[in-house]
Amino acid sequence: MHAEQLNLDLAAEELDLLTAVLDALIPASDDGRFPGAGSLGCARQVARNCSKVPGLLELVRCGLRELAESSRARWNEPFEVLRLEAREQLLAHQSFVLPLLIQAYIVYYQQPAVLAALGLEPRPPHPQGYAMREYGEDPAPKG
Amino acid sequence: MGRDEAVDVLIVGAGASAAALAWSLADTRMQILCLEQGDWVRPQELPGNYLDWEARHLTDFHFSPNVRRRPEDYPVNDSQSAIQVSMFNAVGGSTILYAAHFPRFRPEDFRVRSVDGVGDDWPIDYETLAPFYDLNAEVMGVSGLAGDPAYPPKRFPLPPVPLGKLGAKLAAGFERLGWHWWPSDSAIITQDYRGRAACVNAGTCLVGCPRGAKGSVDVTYWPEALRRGVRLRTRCRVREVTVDEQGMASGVVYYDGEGKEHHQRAHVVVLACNGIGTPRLLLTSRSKLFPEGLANRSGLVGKNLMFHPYAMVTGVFDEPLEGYKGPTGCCIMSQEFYRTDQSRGFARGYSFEILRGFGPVSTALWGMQQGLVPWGRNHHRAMAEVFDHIAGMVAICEDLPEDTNYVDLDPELRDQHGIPAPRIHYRLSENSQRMLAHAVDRAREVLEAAGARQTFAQAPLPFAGWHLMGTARMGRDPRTSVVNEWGRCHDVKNLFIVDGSIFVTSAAVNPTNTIQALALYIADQMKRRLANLFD
Repeated sequence: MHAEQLNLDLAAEELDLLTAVLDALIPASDDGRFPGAGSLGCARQVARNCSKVPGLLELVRCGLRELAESSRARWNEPFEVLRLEAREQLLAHQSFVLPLLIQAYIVYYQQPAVLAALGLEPRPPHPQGYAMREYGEDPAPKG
Repeated sequence: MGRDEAVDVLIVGAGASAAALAWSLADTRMQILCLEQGDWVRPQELPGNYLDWEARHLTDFHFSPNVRRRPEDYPVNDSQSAIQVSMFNAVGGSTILYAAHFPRFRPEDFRVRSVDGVGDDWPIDYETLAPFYDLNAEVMGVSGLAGDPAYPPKRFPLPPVPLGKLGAKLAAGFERLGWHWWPSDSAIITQDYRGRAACVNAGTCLVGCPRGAKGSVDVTYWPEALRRGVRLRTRCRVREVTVDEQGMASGVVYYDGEGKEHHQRAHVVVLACNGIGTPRLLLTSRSKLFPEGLANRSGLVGKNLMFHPYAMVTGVFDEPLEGYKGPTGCCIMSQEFYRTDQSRGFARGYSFEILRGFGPVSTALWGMQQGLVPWGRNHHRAMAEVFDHIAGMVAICEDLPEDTNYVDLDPELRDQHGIPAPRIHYRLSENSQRMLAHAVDRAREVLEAAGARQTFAQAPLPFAGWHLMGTARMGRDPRTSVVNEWGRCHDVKNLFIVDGSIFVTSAAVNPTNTIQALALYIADQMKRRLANLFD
């Protein structure tokens, strides 16, 4: 209940900033195969996950506020419009990045588009599973 | 408090040992009732059916009850333990989440004191358990390859699990070093078997198998036991075992799913709550006749806790290994360093088990932890170098029984019913630390011989307290053991224990097969002695 409430309280501008942060943490790949985590729409789910870890969503919200202030102080621009290098420089000093990154990876690497980019079938493992050669065509132990 | 009609046999817990015992005792047509604090796990609800399956291994299907915190879980104070306790509470118990790596103990594992002068000898031997290992293989559906020189002859109803590219590569590493390796004994069916559908190599074993190909006891023993008349009540948490004026067990007090308290009476009580839950229950069952806890006149209830300290070593390879395919924890194993060699500086030894690779989420998190996968512009390039390029192996080290490792009751922490939580006191012995260091070095050698360009080690693995053993040990002498050589408590002649608590030593293999073989053996002994079971 409390977690859901926190998530609902995440303001639109906070979600936009989180989206920009996610695109800096996991940007689109140069060849365009992998989308950025923010552009892929992971922010809401990441925020929801953060709300389930005690204290994390508050840490992230404080971090986002500091980040917005740092961006204006250093570049005189909102974080969202900075070049990737500038975003990375600002994020490098933020304590919320590592715990946020864990949630970002958890959400990003279960997205069908990302699984497909990794060369996997974009589906859950069950019920199809994966084809493998049966034992017998493998090397045998010598005993 | 409701008083329920007395049953002949009351089993507490519905995991690996309970299911085997109930199945075997069903022959007798006695009234058998099992109380389980968890519920049935519905296959359609298991994470492997969903894209977020890896994430759920970190939350509601985590190994640790302290992280999972489901209503059916009880907290465990393991804050002072080098290894955190892992278990699952449901019909099927921890077999719901286990890897189903299913080796037997070796004959010398039952006489460690005689062979190596450490630990203690068991009051039974391999030959006694061998027919029950065979029976268990039939019912659980064990896949494997006969002929392993490390063991006496064994029968397998099913052929081994596939090695895959990863397994073949690691096997080549063992071959290059001239070290023993063998396809794993696995409680995973590689062909359709007894109404169950064969494994499809989905790689989600550690969050449950929606297909039922993995031999968790909710799909092996329980359906047959229930068909044969055993009754199973879920969401029933037992608080204490009650005793009568003669010091015999008279039943248990439990809370049902609605929190109502009951007294279930029984002529025989069997505890099958695992190596933590069983001593907890004995210690909460204090009475005038048993002020230090039930069946604890030896003072050994809770003592000699053994885990298996695990080392995990992971190799990064240049080529893709398809490691996301196949049974997660079953591939090949090695017992090259199983026996004592004094030149190594430690007693006893360990097994190697080759795991598969990781899924995408686990790869990213592991890569982050190792400093291999950064965030930012280099993320995808770095991720591409590790995803599907890693192979994991673990060393499972024999843990020797020690007085200083034990379970007692936490003075403050309680579960939702107010029952004291277990508290774990466990430190890694010098022997275990030396063994882990040796295992890490040898694992690196194997991975490098197989072609790994980098290796990473973690020892001990923190969330690896899967194997809970030794806390109500078996023996002939009531002064030095809690149960006799067929599982009956020395102090309470109608109280039996059939889980890993009764292990005397731990060997260096996964214990589930031996836990179940012991449960079948104890059930067999009970059936043979029905006329004079309490003499």
